[in-house]
Amino acid sequence: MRHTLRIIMLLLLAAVPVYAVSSDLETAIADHQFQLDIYRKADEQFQLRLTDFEQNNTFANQQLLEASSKKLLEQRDTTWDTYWQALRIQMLEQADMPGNLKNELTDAITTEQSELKEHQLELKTADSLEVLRDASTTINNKDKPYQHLAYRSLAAINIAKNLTAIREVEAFLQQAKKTIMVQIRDTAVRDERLRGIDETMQTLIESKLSLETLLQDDFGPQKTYNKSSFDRLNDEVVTIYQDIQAAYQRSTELSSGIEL
Amino acid sequence: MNTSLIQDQSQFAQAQETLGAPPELEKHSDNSQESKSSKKKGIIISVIVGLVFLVLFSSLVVLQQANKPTTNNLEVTPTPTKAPQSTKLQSELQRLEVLVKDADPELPPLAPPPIDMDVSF
Repeated sequence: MRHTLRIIMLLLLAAVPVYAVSSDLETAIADHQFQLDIYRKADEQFQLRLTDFEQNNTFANQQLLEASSKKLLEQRDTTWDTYWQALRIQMLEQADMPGNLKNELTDAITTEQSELKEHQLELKTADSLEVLRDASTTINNKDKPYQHLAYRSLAAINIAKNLTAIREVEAFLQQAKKTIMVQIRDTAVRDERLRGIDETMQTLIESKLSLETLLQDDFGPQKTYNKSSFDRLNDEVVTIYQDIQAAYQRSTELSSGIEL
Repeated sequence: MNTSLIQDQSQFAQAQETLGAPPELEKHSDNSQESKSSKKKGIIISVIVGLVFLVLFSSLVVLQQANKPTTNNLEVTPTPTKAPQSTKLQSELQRLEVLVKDADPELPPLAPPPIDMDVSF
C-alpha cells in the first residue's frame, strides 16, 4: 500500500514540471500576441499623428506626434522582449538541439533582451523629437540582427524537433523488431516485417545525417539569416520531414497485430 | 256463522287428505337438496379455478426465473476488455504521432514579429 502511494506521489511530482513547461510556453506566446496587437494599434495611431503633423506643423501636433512615437517605440521594445522570452522557452525544451548551439543562441537572446531594457530606459527620458529620432535609428539598426537571430533560432528549433521525432521513431522500431521476432511465428511474415523495419531505419538514418549536415554546413554563426535564407533552409527540412512522416506511417503498419 | 266455519274446516281437512301434503312443503325440501349440491359444485369449480390459477402463476414464475440472468452467467461471459499490451502499442503510436506532427517545419513554431516599419521622421 505504501509502495503504491509512493509511486502515485512520484508520478504526480513528475507530471507537475512537464505541465509547467508547456504552460509557460503557452503563456509566453499568448503574452507576445497580446503585446503585438497593442504594437499594431500604436503604429496606426503614430501614422495618423505623423500625417497630421506633416499637413499642419503646429506645436500641438508636434506634441501629439512625440507622445505617439514614444509610445510606439516603447511598445516595440516590449513586443520584441516577449518574443525573445517565448523563443527562449521553446529552445530550452529541445532535447535534441546540440548543446553548444543552444547555449550560443540563448546567450545571444539574453544579450538582446539586456539591450532592449537599456533602450527602454533611454526612451523614458526622451523628451524631444530629436532624441526620439535617435532612439528610432538605434532600433532600426538593431532590426537586422534581431531578425537574423530570430530566424536562426527558429530554424534550429525546427531541426531539433525533427531530430527528436527521428530518435523516437527509431526507438519504437527497435522495440517493435524485438517483439516481432518473439511474437510472429510465421517465418515469411516475420522476415518481411523485419526487412521493412531495416529499410525504414535506413531512411531515418539518412534523414538524421541530412539534418546534422544542415546544422554543420548551412547553419553556422557566420551565415547571414533573413527571411529568404530561412525559407530556403526550411524547404530542405520540409523534405526531410516528409520522409520522417512516411517512416512513422510505415512503423504503424509494421507494428500491427503485435503486443509491446 | 259458526256452522259455516266448521264446514269450511272439514272441507279443508278433506281436501288435505285427498291432495296430501301441501305442495309448498315438498318444494322446500327439493330446494335445500339443490342448494347443497350447487354449493358443492361451486366449491369444486372454485378449487379447480384456483388450481388452474396456481399452476399458471407458478409456471409464469418459473419461466421468469429461467429467463433471468444469474450471477453465474455473468461470470461465464465476462465483458471483453482489451489486452493491456495492445493499449500500450496504441498509446505509443499516439505519442509518436504527436511528436511527428509537432516537428512539422511548415508551421514555424513562432514567427518573428513583423516590426519593420521606419519610425524616423
